[in-house]
Amino acid sequence: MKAIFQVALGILAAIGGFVDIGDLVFNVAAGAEFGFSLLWVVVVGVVGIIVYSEMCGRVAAVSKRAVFDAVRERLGFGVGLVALVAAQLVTFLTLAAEVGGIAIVLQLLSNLPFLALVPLAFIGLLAAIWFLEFEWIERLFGYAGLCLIVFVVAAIKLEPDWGSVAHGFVPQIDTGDPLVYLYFMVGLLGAAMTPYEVYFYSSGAIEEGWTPKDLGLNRLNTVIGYGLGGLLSFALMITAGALFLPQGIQPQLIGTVALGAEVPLGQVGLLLALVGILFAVGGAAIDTCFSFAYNLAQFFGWEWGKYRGPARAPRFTLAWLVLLVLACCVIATGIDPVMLTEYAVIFSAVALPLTYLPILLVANDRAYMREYANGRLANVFGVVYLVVILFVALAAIPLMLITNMGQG
Amino acid sequence: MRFSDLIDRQVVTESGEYLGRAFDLRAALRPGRLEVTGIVVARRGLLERLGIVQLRALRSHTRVGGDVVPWEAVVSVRGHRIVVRDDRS
Amino acid sequence: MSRPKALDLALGVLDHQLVDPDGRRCGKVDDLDLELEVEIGEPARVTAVLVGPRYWPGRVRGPIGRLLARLGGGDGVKVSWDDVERVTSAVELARPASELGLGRGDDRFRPLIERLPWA
Repeated sequence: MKAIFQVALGILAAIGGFVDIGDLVFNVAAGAEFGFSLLWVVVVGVVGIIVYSEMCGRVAAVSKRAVFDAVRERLGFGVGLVALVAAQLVTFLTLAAEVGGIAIVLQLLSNLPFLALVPLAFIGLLAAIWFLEFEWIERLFGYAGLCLIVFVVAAIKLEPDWGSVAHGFVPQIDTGDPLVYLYFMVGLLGAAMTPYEVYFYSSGAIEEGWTPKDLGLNRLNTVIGYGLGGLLSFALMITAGALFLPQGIQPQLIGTVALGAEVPLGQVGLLLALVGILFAVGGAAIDTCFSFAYNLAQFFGWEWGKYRGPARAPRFTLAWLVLLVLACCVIATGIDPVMLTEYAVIFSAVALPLTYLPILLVANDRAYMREYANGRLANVFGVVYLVVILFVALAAIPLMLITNMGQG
Repeated sequence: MRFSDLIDRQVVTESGEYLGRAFDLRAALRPGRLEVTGIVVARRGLLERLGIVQLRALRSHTRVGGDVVPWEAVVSVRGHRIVVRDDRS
Repeated sequence: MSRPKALDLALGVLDHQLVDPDGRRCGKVDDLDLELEVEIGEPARVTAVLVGPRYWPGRVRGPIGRLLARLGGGDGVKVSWDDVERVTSAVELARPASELGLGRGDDRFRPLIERLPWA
């Protein structure tokens, strides 16, 4: 009974942790631009991250390898280094965007000047990482992130045309503005399948000492955690579609995102939305920060792990510390976090194949995986998503340039 | 000699027949020693040339899809190419 | 005598994690030293595991490899194959990292971390 409770808690934390700044920006922008007609893309993205993380979790549990162990072993030092550099650049961009998001929400909550809040965000994140046990970090940020459920309530309260909403789940393409539509497709997929999530998940599985006995837990976590997390993405898009599209509002600010909850639900809605965003993005920032350090340490063979303690893994510790400081510095220059988020998501989409492919290869390797290697179903999904990811990676930058970041 | 020096070299027979590239070395792990038993030779497809796909391993930590030239058949590893006997088994 | 395990070096040894008997991660297998010029009847063997930025130019040719080596500090350690205990998913060593000269990168930064106020 206790085990079921533990699993449920873990899943709750995963749901709250699913949404990050990229999902917020792109789901709301997509809803404001195209209403409900991109909902089906979110489904594709959620299934994609489930497939990818399940494989990473299984690879970690059976072969004791995290993502960048697999990348280096499968791609070798040269090509693997390219994958590492790409992943790290994207991870850094993402962290900066998240820190920016945190500072903005703090500003909305406190009315203090933005520049004062960047150091506050830094101290808050640093304190959480340094003083809290990992499980407590996941719980605190995950549960508080669940405040985002206010958007589900808001979506219902806004009484959208549910027929249109249902139609949004049917694969389609907006022929009025196909290029911008494709751009948002790429953005939504990139935001749903953010690379740092799997780096973090895979490393976490090894830190937890997962064995083949945990494969059921792995499947539960990924399917239910990300699946239900997808509901939050739907809610964001539906509220935006119901509220912003008719008014012609294109949310350029995070405050506008929170409007999606304030208009139907008042001050309570606004507060819950802001708290939810703060902790969802805050948790994401911590995960991103660690992913950077995990990747570096795993590629070069350093000691790594939050559980090892800072003194046992000095380079690993320095890596995430330095990255956090750099990200805060970038945000302190006054760069627009929403724009930064869009770049982070688009470049994430470009880098995605470089780390997806080695995992797919290792997941198929019976010498590493024994009887737990990909079966036929896993490979059908695995290969289909490889094609999806390759298409997204190749199309991302051209679409970004042609549509001027979705402005059309 | 370093492993990295040996890999990727062209493998030819004494009579000049081109067999492919040296993809890997087959070895036998014995207590206290790791013996080189052969060269894994294969022609490179486009993906292999980009370094993206290495020959798949299957059951026993060894590759499939390449021929293994026994080490005894190697004539010379000096110079740019690896030369093996015409009659390798 | 049991049959020796067959394994391919680039697949099963190269780029794998090195772990010492205390479970400490201490680098990756960056390259291997081979003894190939042997007497008749003597098998060719792997004599050492090469670890460290000094051996990166062997893997990445040209100026990039040399730049990387310099960025990494240029150190390198030759670990005799006699000091390898077993090869599993990682290459497990028979002696502690400190005895073999491994893990020095982490050793170098440890004092800095320990000086942080709340470490």
